[in-house]
Amino acid sequence: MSSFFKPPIDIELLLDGEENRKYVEIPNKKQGITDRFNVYDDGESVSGIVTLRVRSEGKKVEHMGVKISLIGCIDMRKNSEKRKSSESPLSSNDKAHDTKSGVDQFLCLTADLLPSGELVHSQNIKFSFKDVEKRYESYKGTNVEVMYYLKVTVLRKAADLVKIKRFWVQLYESMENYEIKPIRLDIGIENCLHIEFEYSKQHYTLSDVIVGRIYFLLTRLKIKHMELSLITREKINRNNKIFDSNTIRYEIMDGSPVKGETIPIRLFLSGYDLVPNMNLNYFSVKHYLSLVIIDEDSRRYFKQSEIFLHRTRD
Amino acid sequence: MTTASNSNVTTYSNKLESAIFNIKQQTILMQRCLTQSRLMDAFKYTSAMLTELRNPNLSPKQYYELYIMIYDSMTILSQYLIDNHPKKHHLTDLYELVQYAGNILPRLYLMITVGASFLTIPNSPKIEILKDMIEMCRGVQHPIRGLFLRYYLMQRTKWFFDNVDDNAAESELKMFKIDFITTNFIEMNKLWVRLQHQGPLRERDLRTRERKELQVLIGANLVRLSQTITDKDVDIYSNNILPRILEQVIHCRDVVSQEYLLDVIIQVFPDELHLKTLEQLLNCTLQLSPKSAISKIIVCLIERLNRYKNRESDDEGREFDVSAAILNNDKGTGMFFTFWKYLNTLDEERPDLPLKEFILLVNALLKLTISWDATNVSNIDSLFKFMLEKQKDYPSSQENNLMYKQLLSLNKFTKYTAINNNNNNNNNNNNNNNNEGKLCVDKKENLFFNIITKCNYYGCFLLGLKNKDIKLEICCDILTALFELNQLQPNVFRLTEKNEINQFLQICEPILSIEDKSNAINLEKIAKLIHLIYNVSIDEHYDLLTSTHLWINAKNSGNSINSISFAIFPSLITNYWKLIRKLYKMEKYQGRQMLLKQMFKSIARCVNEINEERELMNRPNNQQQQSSDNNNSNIDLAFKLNIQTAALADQLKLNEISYDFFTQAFIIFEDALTDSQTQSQRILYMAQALQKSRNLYNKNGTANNSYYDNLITRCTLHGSRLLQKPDQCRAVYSCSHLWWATELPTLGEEEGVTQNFYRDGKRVLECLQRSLRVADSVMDNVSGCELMVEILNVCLYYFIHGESTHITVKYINGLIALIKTNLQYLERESKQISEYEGNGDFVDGVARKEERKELEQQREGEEETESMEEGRGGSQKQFSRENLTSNIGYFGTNSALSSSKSGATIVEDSGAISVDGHSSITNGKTNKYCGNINFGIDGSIIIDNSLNQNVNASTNSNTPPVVNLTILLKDNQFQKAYNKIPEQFFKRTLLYIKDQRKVDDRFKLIVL
Repeated sequence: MSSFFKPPIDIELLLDGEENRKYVEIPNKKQGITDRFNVYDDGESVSGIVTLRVRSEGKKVEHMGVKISLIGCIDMRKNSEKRKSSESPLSSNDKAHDTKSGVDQFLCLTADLLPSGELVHSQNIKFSFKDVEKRYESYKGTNVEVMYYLKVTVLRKAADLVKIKRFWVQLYESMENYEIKPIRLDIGIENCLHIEFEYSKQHYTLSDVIVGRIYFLLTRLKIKHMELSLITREKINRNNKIFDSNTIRYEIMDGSPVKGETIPIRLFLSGYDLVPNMNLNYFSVKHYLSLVIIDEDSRRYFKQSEIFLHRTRD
Repeated sequence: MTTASNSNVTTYSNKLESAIFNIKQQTILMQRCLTQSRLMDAFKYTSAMLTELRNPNLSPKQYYELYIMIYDSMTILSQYLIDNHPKKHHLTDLYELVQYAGNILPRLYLMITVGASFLTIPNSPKIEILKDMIEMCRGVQHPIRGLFLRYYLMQRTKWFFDNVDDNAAESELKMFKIDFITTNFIEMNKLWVRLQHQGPLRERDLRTRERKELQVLIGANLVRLSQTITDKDVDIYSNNILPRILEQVIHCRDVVSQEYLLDVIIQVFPDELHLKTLEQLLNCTLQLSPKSAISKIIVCLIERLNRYKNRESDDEGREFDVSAAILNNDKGTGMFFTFWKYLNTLDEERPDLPLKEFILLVNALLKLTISWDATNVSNIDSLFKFMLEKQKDYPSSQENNLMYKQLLSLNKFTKYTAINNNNNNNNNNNNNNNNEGKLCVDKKENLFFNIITKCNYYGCFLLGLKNKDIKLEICCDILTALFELNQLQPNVFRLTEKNEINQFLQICEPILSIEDKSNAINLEKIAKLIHLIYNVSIDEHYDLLTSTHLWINAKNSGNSINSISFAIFPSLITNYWKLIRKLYKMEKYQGRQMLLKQMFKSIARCVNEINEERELMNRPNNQQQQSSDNNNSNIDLAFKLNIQTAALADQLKLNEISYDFFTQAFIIFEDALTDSQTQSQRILYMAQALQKSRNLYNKNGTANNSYYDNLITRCTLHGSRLLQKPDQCRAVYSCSHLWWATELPTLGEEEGVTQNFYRDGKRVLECLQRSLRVADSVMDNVSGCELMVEILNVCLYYFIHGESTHITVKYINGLIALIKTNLQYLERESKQISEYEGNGDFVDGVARKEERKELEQQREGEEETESMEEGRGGSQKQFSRENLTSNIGYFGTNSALSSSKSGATIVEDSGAISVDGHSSITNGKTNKYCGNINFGIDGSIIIDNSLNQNVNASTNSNTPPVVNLTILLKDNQFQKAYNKIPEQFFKRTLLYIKDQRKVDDRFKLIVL
C-alpha cells in the first residue's frame, strides 16, 4: 500500500502483562503459523493501554471520538455459507452483528476513550473492563468458532480506523459435581466376538488419563490390531449438522488375543490439545471414545461410548 | 488428523536388508541427537527404528537379527537416560512421555527402556514400575512380537533380578521377583503355544520348527527364576513356583512346550529341590497331553538325579557319608517308591502309551535304583515283574519293540558290570575309594550278579520274550559278562548256592532251545558256567552238581538235535573230578568213601549219557553225515572220559572203580569204535593211562590175574588186532611199556630207589618180538624198515633202562643187522628204479639218480648216526630223558594242547588227568614219522610204492595167505598164552622174512 493511503493514526493495543500472561497457541491454517492468544478467565478484568500514534508528528488529525469494545461472538459461517478463503470474521467490519451471516454476538461492552477532537501528539490511553462476565469458552472447531476480541475504533468522517486484538477465554469447572462411575460395556458379534470393556470413569479432565481394560470372552476373529480413538463431535443446532474429527488414534493391542485375555488401556490426555465438552444454544461439542478392532482383512469393528471432558484448574 | 505424539507413523521396510539399513541409520541419527541433548528427536528416531519390529513377515531368525541390533541401540539410549537423569530430564516424566507413541510396539519398547533405566536409580518406585511394565506388555498379543517384547523386558530388567537387595524387605521382594518372572513366563508360554496355531495348516511343521528356534526365549525365564532361589527355598519352590509352572505346562496342552519346559525345569533347578518335589513333578507328567514323550522327561529327570548322586559321591568322603545317609534313609528308598507308585498309576491311567515308553521308563528306573540304592535288589526285581506283565499286554511285538527290549536287557548289563563295580566300591570302601582296583571283594556286592541271582522276574522276563534271537543274544551276553568278571577276579564269582545256579541255568534255557547245529559256541558257555560251580562244603558242592545234572537231563529230554550232553557233561565231570580230589585229601571227612563212590557213580551216569546220546542221534530221522560225525566224537569222548576217570580212581586207590571204568572204556572200544585210525590212537591212549596206573595191581581181584594184568593183556590184544600192520606194530611195542612201569615223580617214585615197579622183561621182549614180526611182514619195504627202526628205538630204551636180561646186546645187534639188510635192499631197489627211469631221459635220469643217491645217503647217515648214538649208550641218562619226554612226559604237551583246543575243559593239577585226549602221544608220534617219510625219501618213495604195489599184486597169489595164516596162528597162540612165545618163533620169522626177500628179489629179477 502506498503511503498516500496510509491511515494518519497507528493504533496499538497492549494488554496488561501481555508478555507474561498465560497464552495458548492456536494453529492458523490459512497462514501456516500459530497465533498466540492471551488467556483470560471468566469474570476477569481485561485491561491495557491503547496507543494512538500520529503518523506525521505535529499534524492535526481530526476524529469524532475513540472507543474500545470487548466483543464475544459465535461464528458459524463456515458451515452456513460457502467459504471464502480470504474471509474471516475479524476482517468483516460492522456486519458482525448480522445474524443472517451466522455470526452471533453475545457480548459487547464499549467504553469511550476520547471525545471527538483533534489529535496532535501520540497519546497513551489506559482502559479497563472490570470483571467481565464471559459466558462461553473460546473455541475453534471445524465449522464453529467462539471468539473474544477487543476492538478500538477511531471514528472519523472518512472511514473509521479499527484495531482488533483477539484473546482467549478458558472456563474452569469443578469435577466435584460428577460422580465417578465407570463405563462398562458388553458387546459382541454372535459366534464371532464377545468382549467386555471398561473405562474407569465417564468424566475426565483434560489432563486426565483414560484407564480401562478389555476382556476377550470369545474371539473367532483374526484380529490384526486394536485401537482407541477419541472422536470430537461438533454439532450445530441450527441445521443439526454434525462434524466428527478423530482427535486421538492410539493403538492398544497388537496381534490376535485368545479367549480370556485382558488388554489394558491407558491413554494420557494431557499431551493432546483437547477441548472440553461444550453445549451452547448454537452448537455443541461432544467426545466419544471409540474402540476399533481391525481384523486381518482390514475390516473394522468399533464401539463408541461417550465421555465428557472438563477443563479444571490444575 | 495427526496427533501430537512423538513418533512419526512410519511403516516398516519390506525387506530384511532395508530394515537393517534403516535401523542402522536411525541409530546414528539417534546418537547424534543424544550428543546434542535433543531427547525428543532421539525418541522420534528410536520410534522409527522400532517400527521395523512391527513387520509381520519376518521369520523368527530374521526377527531375532533385528532384535539384537535394536537391543544394542536401545542400550545406548538407556545409558544416556541413566546418565542424565536428574540433570536434563526426570525419568518419571519420560516414562509418561514415551507412552504417547501411537503404535503399541514402539511404545512398549520405549517404555521398558525408560522404565528399566529408572529401576537403576536409587529410590525409584521399582516394584510399581515393574508391575506396570509387565501389565502393559499384555497389549502385544502377536506371538513372535510378544515373545521378543517380553524377552526384552527380561533382558532389560536383568540387573534388578541379579542384584542382591537390602535385607529388610528381602523376602517380600523375593516373592515379588518370583511372581514377576513366573507371570512373564506364563504369558510367554501362552504366546509360544499360540504360535503353533498361526498360519495355514499345511505349515504346521514349519511352525513347530520356528517354535523350537524360539524356545530359548521362554526357557530364559526359568533360568532366571532358578537364579533367584537357592537350594534352601524349598517351601517357596514347592508351594509357589513349581505349582504355577506345572499348571501352565499342563494347561497349555502342547507337546513341544511340555517336553521342552519339563526338560528345562529338570535341568535348571537345584537337585535338592527336585528331590523334595518329586511327586509334584511326576504327577504333572501324568497329566500331559497324550503325545508328549513322558519317558523322555522321566529319563531326563532320572539322569539328573543320577548325576547328582555321582557328584555327591565324588565329593570328599565325609560329606558323602552324611548326605548319603540322609538320602538313603529318608529319600533314597522313598524315591524309588515314589517312582514305583508313579509307574503303576501311569500304567493304570495311560493304557494308550506305547510299550516303548514303558521300556524306556523302566530302563531309566533301573538306572536310578542302581545308582541310588544298589543293595536293594527287590526294587529291580519288581521292575522286571512289572515289565513281564506289561509285555503280556502287547501281543504283537514289532521289530521296533524288539529292538528296545534288546536295549533294555543287553546294553544295561554290559554297562553294569563296570558301573556296579564303581558303585559298590564306593559303598564299601569309603575311605579309599580312589583305588585303582575297582573290583569288589565279594560277589554279593556285585550288582550284576545280584540281579541275576536274586531277581526271579529277571529270568522270567527274559524267558518271556518272544523273539528267540534276542533271548539268545542277551543270554550269551550275560554269560560273557560273568566270565569277564571271573577273569578279572578269579574265584570270586563262583556259583555257590543252589538258587544262584538255578537262576543262571534258567537264563541259559534259550541256548538249549535253539535247534541249530552251530550252537556249539553257546553251549560251550554253559559248560564254562558249570565250571564256576563251587562250594566250600563238599556235600553242598555235590548237591549243586547233582542238581545241575538233573537240570541238564530235564532239558535234554526231548531234544534230539543238540548234542547237549556232549558239550556240557565234560565240564560237569571235570567239576566232579575236582571235587573228588578235594574230598580225597580230606581224610577225616565223614562218609568219605560212600560219597566218593557216589560221585563216581554220578560220573558214570554222565559218561553213559554222553554215550547214549549217540544212540539217540542214530535215529533214522537225522541226517547221516552229521550224526555219524557226532557219534564218533561222542564215543571218543565217552571213551576218554572213562579212561581219565579210571585213572583218577586209580590214583585214589579205588581199584574197583578204576577197573570198572577201564572196562567201560573197553566196552565202548569194542562196541562202537570202528574207525581203524582212531582205534590205533585209542589203544595208545589207553596204554598211556594204564601205564601210569599204580593201584590196580596192588591188590588182586578175585581171579588169579590182577585187574591190571587183565586190562593190559586186553589192551595189547586189541592192539595186535588192529587192521593195519604198522598200527599193529606200533600198538604192540607201545603196549610193551605196560609191563615196564617207569618212575612218576609226582608220586614220589624214583628210578633206582623205588623197588616195587611192575616190571616184566620177558613180556616186554615178547611184545617187541611180536611187533618186529609184524613190522617185517609189512609189504612196504620202506615203512617196514621204519617200523623196525622204531622198534630198535624202543629196544634201546629198555636196554638203557636196565632191562638187559631179556633184551640183550645180541638181540639188538640182530635187529640192527636186520635193518641194515633191509636198507641194502632198499638201496638196491632204488638204484634199479633210477636206471629203469633213466632209459626214458638219460641226462635227467642221471641227475635225478645222483640226487636220489645223495638223499638216500643222507637218510642212511642220519639213521646210522642215530642208531650209533643210541648204540653207544654212553649217555644213558640223557637218552632216557629224551625218551621220557617223548614217551611219558607227553602229559605236558598233551594238556597244553587240550587246553588250547577247547576252553570248556579245564586242566586240573599236574596234568595227570587230561580230559581231552585228542592229541595223545601216538598222534604226535605218527605225525613225526609221517614227516620223516616225506622228508627222508622225497618223491622217489612214490615210485617205489607203485612198484611195490605191482610186485605185491603179482605175488599176491603166493605169499599173503601164508602170512595171514601165520598171523592167525600166532593170534591163537597169543590169546591162549601170551607169555609163552618161544624164542625160535622170532628166529623163524626172521628166516621167513629172509626167504621172503629172496623170493621177492628173484621175482623182481624175473620181472625186470
